[in-house]
Amino acid sequence: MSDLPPPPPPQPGPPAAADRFAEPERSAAGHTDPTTPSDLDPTDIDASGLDAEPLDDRERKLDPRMVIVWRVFGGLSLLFPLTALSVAGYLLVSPAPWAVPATAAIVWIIGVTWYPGARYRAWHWRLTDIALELRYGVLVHRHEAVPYFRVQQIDISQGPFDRLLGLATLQVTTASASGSAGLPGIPAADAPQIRMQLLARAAVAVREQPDEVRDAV
Amino acid sequence: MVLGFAEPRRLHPASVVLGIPLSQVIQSLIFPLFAGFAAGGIVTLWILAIVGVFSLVFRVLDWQRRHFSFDGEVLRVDSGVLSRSHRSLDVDRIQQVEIQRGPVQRLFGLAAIRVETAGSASEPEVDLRVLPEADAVALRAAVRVSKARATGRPSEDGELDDAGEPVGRQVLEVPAKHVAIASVTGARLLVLPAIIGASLQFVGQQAGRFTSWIEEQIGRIDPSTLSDGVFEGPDWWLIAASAVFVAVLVMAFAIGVGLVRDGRFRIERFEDDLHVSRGLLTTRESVVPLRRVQLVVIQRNWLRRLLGYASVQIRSAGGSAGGDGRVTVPLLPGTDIDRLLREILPGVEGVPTLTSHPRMALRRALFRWLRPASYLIAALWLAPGVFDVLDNTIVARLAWASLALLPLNAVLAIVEYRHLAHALTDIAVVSRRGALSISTTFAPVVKIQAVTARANLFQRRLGLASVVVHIAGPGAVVAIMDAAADDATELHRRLTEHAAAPSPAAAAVLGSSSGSREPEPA
Repeated sequence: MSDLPPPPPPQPGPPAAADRFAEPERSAAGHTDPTTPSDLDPTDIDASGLDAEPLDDRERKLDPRMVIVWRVFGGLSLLFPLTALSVAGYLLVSPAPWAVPATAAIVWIIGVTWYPGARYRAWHWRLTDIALELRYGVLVHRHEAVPYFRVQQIDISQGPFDRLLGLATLQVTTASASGSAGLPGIPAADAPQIRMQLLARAAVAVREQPDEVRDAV
Repeated sequence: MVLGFAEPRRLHPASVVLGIPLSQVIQSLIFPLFAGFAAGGIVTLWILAIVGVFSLVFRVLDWQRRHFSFDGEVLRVDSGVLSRSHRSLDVDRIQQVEIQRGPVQRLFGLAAIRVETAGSASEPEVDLRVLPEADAVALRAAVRVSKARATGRPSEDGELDDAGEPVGRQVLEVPAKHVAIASVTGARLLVLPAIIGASLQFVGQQAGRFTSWIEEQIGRIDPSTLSDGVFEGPDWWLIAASAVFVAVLVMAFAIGVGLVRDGRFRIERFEDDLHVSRGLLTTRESVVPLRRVQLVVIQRNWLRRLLGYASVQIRSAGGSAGGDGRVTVPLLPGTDIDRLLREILPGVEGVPTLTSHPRMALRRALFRWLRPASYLIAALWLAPGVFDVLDNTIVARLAWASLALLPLNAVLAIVEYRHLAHALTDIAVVSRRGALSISTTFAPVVKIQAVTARANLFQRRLGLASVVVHIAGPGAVVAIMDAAADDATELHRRLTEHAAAPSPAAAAVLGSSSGSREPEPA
């Protein structure tokens, strides 16, 4: 089902990391933004996050059912522009009116058959010591790194089709408008836990920095 | 001289008139004016009078209801006639406090205060217009003192002038000559002929006659007579003279606009803040906290490169785009750049040695520049009927002329390739790119939020990759284009490390005291 590792043997006593959240010590600057990791309610984290399995830093893949999602939505979203293009091409191109619709059909078939699988094979994510790293892209390879220290907010979103399959997307937002990462294809049951783990790592990373750096937006 | 801001106070009564934002005036006048023109004559006056009376009553009520206070921690503004708003602004969130004085405001000793925060997108978070100048200065000073206290750094308020204001150290002054050169070498010059052309229509009959004469002259140029060689056409010297006249007019206008906007451009340093003041009629004074500087962009278009000048853009967090989140030094000699960089980015010694990109990047640059040109050429040459009429139509001439784009764009591609370069030091990441206008972008590594490396099919085949460094704020990125793939991987790794845990050296840009501090034990 999921790619998550099996839970490690239960640790005796509270995990060391939990102690860091025992006292919600505020920075001297006094953050007012409730989404800042350093302001997380410690009880909130203890409740569901840290007692559960910590995620190691091996490379993970998405849920295989993501292929179905991409196949359906890719097919649907390509349908309209390709149809419009085909009609225009059929009417306008004079020597070989069938060339454009035929090409469009081939593109659509590739987009539905091969592309979703290739996209799935290209997708990898891992939690390193310092950052959430995503590698994906079939034609354009992308390698994104979002350091935990810079995480401002994590959203879990589920479209209707996602809900049907029990999948979710994690949206990790930083202070940069363009530097936010979306991690799709997470089993909905695991998403809250991954989110808590990320937030916990973010809180630790923020705590380890001196004040000046901490709010250096 | 500390005035009490703890008690809620009103703005200066003159704000009934002077406090109206210009955009609001235009908005409130557009509809009545159009309605009036449609109805004609006396009705316009009536409508204007009614609108005027209503606005005045509204403004007086607005002034009565608008209160502000600052208790050392929170800036509060209560306002609104029909719907009330109570705004509280924590002093930590304040990024910039700008004092603005228009010509009328200066006449009466008044000023406006604009407060910007990290979140504010296009409009200032708080806009207090207008209040007595002394109050504005005192309020700004109070905010500064509280901010220094809140960030835990003692303000070194050693030097004070007679009025009790701290004395700054001059960092940069742009002489009027440089502002004038900036006006005639900048991209804004290209927009001006259109403005002047439009305004000429209103200048009067004389100008009207002049333009119609030009139109007549141009009308006499018949393409068919050009090739015949029996052209008796217009007086060429007259056309040349009028072209020179227009050019001089445009330049004079540009210089005028530039001087009004950026005249007396001055940057001073107060503790860890840069104070930038500029403008001849409307004086604008903004504060850029050094620790909030996100990007520094050195821009040199080809004309300025020839003359040895550059302009420098300083962007701070969350400033309004095109507004005062960006401060642009209009022009400074190339030799002064390193000195200015040392002031803005403490720890940066100047433009570091840049690594240029592998030769394969030239192929990509050529491809990028030739592709759009080839589309145009293909469209012109393949357009139906070109070959039939290749001798004497405008399309045919354009088709031939378009071929000249190929060598031109190839040269631009080579120029772009030669300037592609990057560097990563302990303190800043630097990227240089551009063909017509070369820009060198500096971002302090402490400000890096996320890093993306990307390589498309062609880049992978050529062994290249691009790295995009995301800085806080909308559109703030440093893009390193077409670096060697190995370099890109290494850059990605190092940049991510910098973003995850800034080194004490990198944190030096955040202020005088932060560099020495050890991380708290976890």
